[in-house]
Formats: sequence, structure tokens, C-alpha cells
Amino acid sequence: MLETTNLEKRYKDKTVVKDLNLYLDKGESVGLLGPNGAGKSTSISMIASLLAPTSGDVLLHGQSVLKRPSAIRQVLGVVPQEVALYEELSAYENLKFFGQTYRLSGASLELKIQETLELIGLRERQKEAIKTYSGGMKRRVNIGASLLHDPELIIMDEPTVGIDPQSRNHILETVRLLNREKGMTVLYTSHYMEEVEQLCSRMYIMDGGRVIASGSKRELQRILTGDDLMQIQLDKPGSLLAEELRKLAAVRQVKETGSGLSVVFTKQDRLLTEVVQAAERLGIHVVSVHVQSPSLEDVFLHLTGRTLRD
Amino acid sequence: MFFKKDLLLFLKDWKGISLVLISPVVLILILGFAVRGISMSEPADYQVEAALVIEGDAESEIAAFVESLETRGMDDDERKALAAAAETSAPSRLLLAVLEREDIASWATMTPMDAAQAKAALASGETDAVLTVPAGFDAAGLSRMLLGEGPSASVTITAATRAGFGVRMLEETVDTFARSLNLHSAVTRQLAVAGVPETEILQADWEEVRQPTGGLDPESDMAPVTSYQYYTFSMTVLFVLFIASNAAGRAFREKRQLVYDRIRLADRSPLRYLAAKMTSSALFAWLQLMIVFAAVNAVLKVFPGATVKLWLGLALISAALALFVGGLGALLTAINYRFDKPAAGMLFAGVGVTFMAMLGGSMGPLARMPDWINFLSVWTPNGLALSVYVQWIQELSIGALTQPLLLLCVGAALLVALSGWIFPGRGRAA
Repeated sequence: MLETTNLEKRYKDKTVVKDLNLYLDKGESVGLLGPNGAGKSTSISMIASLLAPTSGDVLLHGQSVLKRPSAIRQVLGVVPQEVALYEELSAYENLKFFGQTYRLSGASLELKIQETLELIGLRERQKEAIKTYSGGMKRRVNIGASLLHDPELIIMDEPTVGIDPQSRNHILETVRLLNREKGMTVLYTSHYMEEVEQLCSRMYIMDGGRVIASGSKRELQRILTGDDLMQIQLDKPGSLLAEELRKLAAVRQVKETGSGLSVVFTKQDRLLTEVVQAAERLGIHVVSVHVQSPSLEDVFLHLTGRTLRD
Repeated sequence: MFFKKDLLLFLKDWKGISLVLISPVVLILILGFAVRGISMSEPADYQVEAALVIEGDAESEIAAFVESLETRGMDDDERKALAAAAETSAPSRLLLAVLEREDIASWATMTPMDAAQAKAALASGETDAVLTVPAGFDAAGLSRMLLGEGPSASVTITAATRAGFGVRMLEETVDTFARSLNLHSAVTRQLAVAGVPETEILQADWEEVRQPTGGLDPESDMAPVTSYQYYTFSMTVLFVLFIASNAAGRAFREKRQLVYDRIRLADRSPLRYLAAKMTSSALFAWLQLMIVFAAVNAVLKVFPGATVKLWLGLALISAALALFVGGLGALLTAINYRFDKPAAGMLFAGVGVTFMAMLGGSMGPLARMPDWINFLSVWTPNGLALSVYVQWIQELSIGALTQPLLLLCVGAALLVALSGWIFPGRGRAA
């Protein structure tokens, strides 16, 4: 349905997005993961036809969006990262205005507004000004304003940042409903790996303006196949121990955490003994050790050397 | 759609409403009360001291003219009639008669001097201006008036650089005299030839030589402008400018909050958005002007006996000014968008409006301002609109409105064209 080919955006001598190649099939829910500054929002702006790329193209059903932006605008809904609403107006007034911008009017507009308010769970409070809403409620209206014209494809740019768990769950449920029951294609960007894991069948991981990995959850986890993750809790800072462990052949990555170390290593029997011995030599007491299979968060850490929320 | 949304936002913005609706009304009440009883159309000091330099001799120029009639081969009756007319119609005498009239002498003091004395007096500041009647003025004038021959006669006024309103009135008086003289020439020639007695000719024609008319004429037939009327216009035309900066500020908030992106995603063209900003600014401006006028009139009766014609005129002038404000709102919006900063609107609201207030007569009556401010005032939208409003309530003449209103509309069109050129399109947004 949608495809980007070698999409690139440069500002003077700074490349913000480089060689972005991604695709979305109809009805898919795809995640776009990356830390701040990875180039996600710029990519979304280019896909949505709001920003002209320096090079490359965006194709919708094989047709260039750059040449005919109205084609994508008719079938696209974008939920921006910021709350893009008139704070002084009520939810109803906001939805009415944005519905009218999509050329809806009369009874069909009224029906669509009420359906949307029902979907986002704000029918009872539709007459109140947005500025009186909680952060979560504002974000729900922010989503609703993008759904009025029944888009085929919806792009959500971190729709759950900074909101309460109840609203977050409501938003995740809404996205699931839109994708699975209404057949809407979803491109979902987030800092939260677990959200993408829950909602998306495939994902792209971006860093430094490039896609550094892509695939299903299982495919991405295979990047660390044969590896395990050891979470070591220590009684004192573990920087010296980290240096010692990096010298071991089986250790692929060591990162200091708040209470100890996180170690990615190639599976082998003797590593635990070697860790304990090294700690003893340095006078550090190992409080606990937990070995687990790597998560997508670990994959991201492995690929970029930092966590998603760094 | 856009207008309704903007109207809703405007009505919910009490700060903005108080700025454009309540502030001018309060200031009109305060300023109008502070200087009540003073006619704002009268300049504070329009007395003028002028030197009168007559370089020729009227007697000898008349005699020479009469003598010249002998050689023209006309019949006796015609020659006598023209000679009699020449005795009573010497242009310098007519000019002196006008200047000595009580209504003019009350503000213009003419002191006879020779050219050198007048020059020194002007340099020393003893006199404000020098009115020079050159040699041959009467001879040329009589030939032109009675025979329709030769060049027009003219006098000169040399004004001091510090010259104020009084000198301008003197210039206009002499200018009106000259125009009346031309009319008089044609009529006198015809009546003299037809044998009408010269005394009747003078009575018929020179009644028309009056002081100049205009918005600042204290002795004209026009109604004086009260302080409340003046400040009703001067404050309203000033505060209406804030509608442009408010519109630009609100539009920039739409950009910053990505609401503008939503509008573009709905496939609405940037220029349509800009046009909507222009339209809503213009409509708000018109409503603001008319609401303030109506409110002030309801409370203070600033337009006593106002007719439908007066209100229609006010509505028409307001419409032209509102168009300009709409164009200004569009331009400030375009600049804010182009540079991705709200500075243009803020700078205009902070500095531009103050500057225009000073030049446009909102700080005090233009009649009491120096000439250069009077000159510049018509190049500010508020100053131009103010002078048109004042002229309208004095004269109720549609003809006087045409040119300034056209100027406002052309200004608005230029602003709109410029804003369309500046406003960023797709892919060029910062």
C-alpha cells in the first residue's frame, strides 16, 4: 500500500534521514522505533507530504505522493506527537472544525463526530474546553481528530507520551480496534518497546536517521540468537568488574545499570563462575544474578549501544 | 468554516476582546473628557504674521491698460465699460480687499514692507511668511481678465521653514483667491461687454471669494469636531491595528501547535488558509470599528442627529480600513510563518502601532501637529482613515471619500499580494 524508496532529508550539511526504505501492506500494523533524534518525526512528515524530501520518493499504491500529495491526504490520518488542537474550544468544536476541513458537513459530520467521541470515550465531556482536560484525554481527542474522515492509513507519532496508565490503555485498545476490527493500516512510532510489541506485527528500528534493523519480533530477536542476557546485582558500583568482564571471550556487551551490570554473552556453562570469581578478586559482592533470553529492548541496546529512552 | 472557528476563538479570548473593544472605549471616555469643550478641528495657534511686498504700482498699470484700449479699434461703449471695469477690478486691489476682510484679518496680520525688509524679517523670525505681488501683476491680470489675453497673473508666498498651520491657511486663502479670480475673469469680461454696471459685477462675483474650505477650517460652514468625536475615531483606528497582530499571533500558535499541519493534511491549500486569515481579520476589524462607534454613540451621543447616510458612510470607510487591516494581518502571518518566529506580529504590536499612533494623529489632534506630521499622517492607514472619518462627519460628501478609500483598498491589495508571495508553500515550511 505504502512504500518509501531511499528517502532522504538534509538540512544544509546535516542529514536527518538517510536511505529510508520501508513498506506497509494494507491492514498491517507496523512499528517505527527509535530514540529521540532518530529521525522518526521527519520521516513521518515526509511520508505525510508535509515536508519535501531532499531525495527519494513515497509511493502510495505505486503512485508518487510527491507528485500528487492530495492522493495520500485523502486516505491518511496523522496523529502528531504534540496535541494539535485548539485548547480554547471544546472537543466537539474541535472535531467539528477538523471534520469540516475534510469537507464533511451536515448530518454525516454530526454522526461522525458522535461516533468518534464514543470511540475515544469522551462523549459525556464533549462540550468542555480542551484546556480543562487531562493530558490523556487531550491525546484521545488528538487521535479522534485524525479519524473523522475514515482514513485507510493512520500514522501515530508517539501517541502515549506523558499520560496516565488508564488513558494509555484506552489509546492502545483504540489502536488495536482500528487495526484489527476496522482494518485500518497503522504506522506506530513509540519510545515504548512493549507498546510496539503488543500492537505491531513488524517493526523498523531507526537510529541516527537510518533504519538499522527491521522485521517481525521473532526476526529481530534472532539478531541475538545464541546469546543470553545476565542481569547482575552488586553491592557497589560495578565499573571495574565491567572492565574485567569485557576481557572475557564469551561476553559481547556489558552495560552498567543502576544496581549492577547487564551482560550479553554467548551461551556457555562457565561464565557465571568466572563472573563471581572476578567480583571476588575486586572485593565486590554479587547480590543476585538473573539470566534471561534477550528482549527487543536488548536487541535495540545491542544495535545502538543505548536504550530507547536515552 | 475558518471564519466561524476564528470567531469562536476570538470570543473566547477575553484578553484580545478587551484590547480591541474595551480599551478604545475607555480611552475615548478618558481623553474625550479630559479635553472636552475644545474643538479638535481648530488648531491651537493659527495666527500668522506676514510681510506684504507690492512691487508694482496699481494706478500706473491700470492707466497703461486703459490707454492700451484706445489702440484696439473697439467701439466707445465697449471701451468705456472695460475701462470702468479695470478701475474696480485691479487684481492687487481685490487681493488686498480679501486680506483686509475681518474674518481673515482676525488671524492673518499683513505688514507692508519692501523686498529687502521682508527678507530680513523672514530670516530673523519676525514674520512667518512673505506675500509678494510682483510688478506687472495688475497689467497682466487685467489683460487676462478683461481681454482674455496674455499669461495668468500670480503672486508668491515664501514661508519660513518653521511655518505652521497659519501659513498653510494663508496659502490656501491666496490659492482660493486665484481660482476665484479666474472665474471672475470670464464672468467680468462677458458682463462688461453686455453692459452690466461694474458695481453689480463686483457684488455678484466677489461674494464667492471666501476663505479656503477644508477639514481644518475654523470659519467654514462645516460643523466643528468635538473631542469625543475626534478620539472616537483616533482611538478606534489605532486599536483596530491590533486585530492584525492578534491574527498573526493566533495563526502562529496554530503553526506551533501543528494545527496548521492538520489543515494542510486535509488538503487545504496554504493560500486558502492565508486568505481565510485575511478575511477573518478584515471582518473582525469592521465589526470592531462599528461596534465601538455604536457603543460610544449610545453612551455619549457622539454623533447627534446621526442619519442613515452618516452611518452608511462610516460603514463604508470602516470597510476600506478593515480591508487594509485584513491585508496587514495576512502579511504579518506570512512573515511569522516564513521565519518560523512570532516576532513580526509582536514587533508590529509593540513598535509599529506606537509609531503609527504618533504619526497618524491618535496621540493628539493633527491640526495641532507640525506640517511634516500632517504630511506623513496620510501615509499611515490610521491617519488616513482618521482624516476621512473626520471629513465625512463634517461634510457628508461621498466625493471626498473616493480617493482615500481607493488608496486604502489599493494598499490592502498590495499587502495581500506581498503576503501571498512570502507565505511558505509545501515543502518550504521551516
